[in-house]
Amino acid sequence: MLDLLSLKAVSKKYGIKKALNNINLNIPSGKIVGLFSPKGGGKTTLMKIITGVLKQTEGVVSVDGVEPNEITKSYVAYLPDKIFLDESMTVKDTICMHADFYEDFSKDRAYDMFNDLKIPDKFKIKALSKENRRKLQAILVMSRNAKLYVLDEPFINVDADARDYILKIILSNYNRNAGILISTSITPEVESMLDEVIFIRDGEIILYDTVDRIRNEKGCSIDEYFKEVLNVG
Amino acid sequence: MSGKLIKYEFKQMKSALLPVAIALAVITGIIFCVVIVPMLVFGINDSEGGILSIFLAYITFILYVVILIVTGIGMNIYIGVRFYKTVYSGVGYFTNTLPLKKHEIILGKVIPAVVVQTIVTLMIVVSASIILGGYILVTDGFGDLMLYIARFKGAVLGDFTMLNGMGIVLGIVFGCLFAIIQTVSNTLLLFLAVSIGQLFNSHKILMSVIIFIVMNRVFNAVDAIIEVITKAFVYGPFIHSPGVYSIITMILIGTKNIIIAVIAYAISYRILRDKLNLE
Repeated sequence: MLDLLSLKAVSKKYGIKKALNNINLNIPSGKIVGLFSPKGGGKTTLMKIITGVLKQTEGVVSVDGVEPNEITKSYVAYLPDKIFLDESMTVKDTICMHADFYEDFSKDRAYDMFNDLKIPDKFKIKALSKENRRKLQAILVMSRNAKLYVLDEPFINVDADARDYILKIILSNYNRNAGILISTSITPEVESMLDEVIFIRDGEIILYDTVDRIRNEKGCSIDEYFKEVLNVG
Repeated sequence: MSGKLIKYEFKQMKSALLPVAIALAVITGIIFCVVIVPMLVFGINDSEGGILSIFLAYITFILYVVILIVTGIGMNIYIGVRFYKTVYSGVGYFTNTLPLKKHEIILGKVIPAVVVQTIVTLMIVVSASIILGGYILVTDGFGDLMLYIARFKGAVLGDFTMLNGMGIVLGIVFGCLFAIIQTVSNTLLLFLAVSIGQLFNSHKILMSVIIFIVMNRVFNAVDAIIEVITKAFVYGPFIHSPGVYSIITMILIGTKNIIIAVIAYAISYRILRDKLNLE
C-alpha cells in the first residue's frame, strides 16, 4: 500500500549549515504522528518541505505519491507556527477566500466553529486578539477534508483556554482517513491523541515508533521518554 | 486559478486605492478653489498684495506638485510592501500553500499592481491637467489655452503624422503601449527587488529598497545612453523629420523595458520556486 507521506534521504542545507540530514520516513494514512525535537532541531524545516513551502537540497519527498507541488497543496492542510492571515481582510473574506481556493474546504463547518467565538464575521483580522487569530487559523485548516494535516506548533503563544479550544477543533474535525503530523510540546492531552512519535535532534531522526510500544516496552510516558532520549528538560 | 488571486488582490488594493482617489480629488478641488478661482474672480495684478498672493499661490502650487510626486512614489511603495507581505512574509505561508503554480502567483500579483499603478497615474495626469489648464486659462486666457493644447498635441503626436496619415491614432496607440510596457517593467523590477531582498536574513525590506533604487538608477542610465546614441546616429540624418528620432528612441527604450520585464519575471519566478526564505 502506498504511504501517505514518504521521505527518502532528504537533506536541507542553509549555506554550509545542515538543517536536515538524511531523513527517511514513511507515514501511512489514518495516523496521528507527533513530531518532537528540542528548539532548532529541524521540525519546522521538515514541515515546510512536506508542504512545498521549502525545497529540499537532496532526497525525494512524496505526498500521496506526488512530489510537493500545486497538486499536493490541494490536499495538504498546513497550519504554520506564524500568523498567515492578511490583517487587512475581514473574517468573512478570509473564509470565502479559503472556500474559493480549496475544493475540500467546508464553509459550513468553518462557520459552525467560528460562531463559537461569538465574533461578527465582518470584523477585520487586525481587530482580532492574538488568541482569536490562532483559533481562526486552526478553524480554517481544520475545515478542510485534507488527506494530510501538517500542524506546526498549533498551541504556540496562546493561553490555556485557546489551547483547549484549538485542541478540540483539531480532534473533532479532522478527516479520519487522513494523516496528521503535529509538532508541539508534549502534554498528557496531546500524548493521548497520538498513534506514533518521531524524535528529531540536529536534523536527524533519533526515533520513530508507536506510542503503545514506547509505553509498554519502556514503561514511561512519551514526555519522560523524550527527555530521556534527547537529554532535555 | 490566477483569476481568483487577481480578484482578491483587487479587492484588497481597492481599500488603498479608494482613499488615494478621494484624497487626490479633494486636494485638486482645494487647490483649484484656493489658487485658481480667486485669480479668476479677482484677477492678477502687480500690486504688493498681488505679489503676496502670487507668492502664496506658487508655494501652494509647489506643495501640490510634491503631493503628486509622493502619491506616485507612495503607490509604488505600497505595491512593493504588499508583495513582500503577501508572498515573502507571514501571509506568504498562505499564498505559497495555495494550489497555484508559481507563475499564477506572480501573475496574480503583477496584473492588479499594473492596473492600480495605471489608475493612479491617470488620476495624477487628470488632476495636473485640471490645475495647469485652470492656471493657463486664468493667466493667459482661453485662446492661449487652446493654443497650448494644440502645440502640446503637435509636439506629442505630430511626430507620427508622417506615417500614412494615421498619425494621431498611431501616436495614441504607440504612446499607450509604451506606457504600459514601462509600467509592467517597473512593477516586475519592483517585485524582483523584493524577491532578492527576501534572500537576506535581516533587513529584508531595506535591502529590497536599496536594490530597487540601484537597479532603477542603472536602467535610467541605460535609457540616457540609448538617447545619446540615437541622437548621434539618427538625429543628424533625419534632421527634417524629428519624429524618426523620437520613434526610434521609444522603440529602443521599449525593447529594453521588455527585456528587463522578461528577465525580472524569470529571476523572480526562480527565487519563488527554489529560494523561498519565509521567516
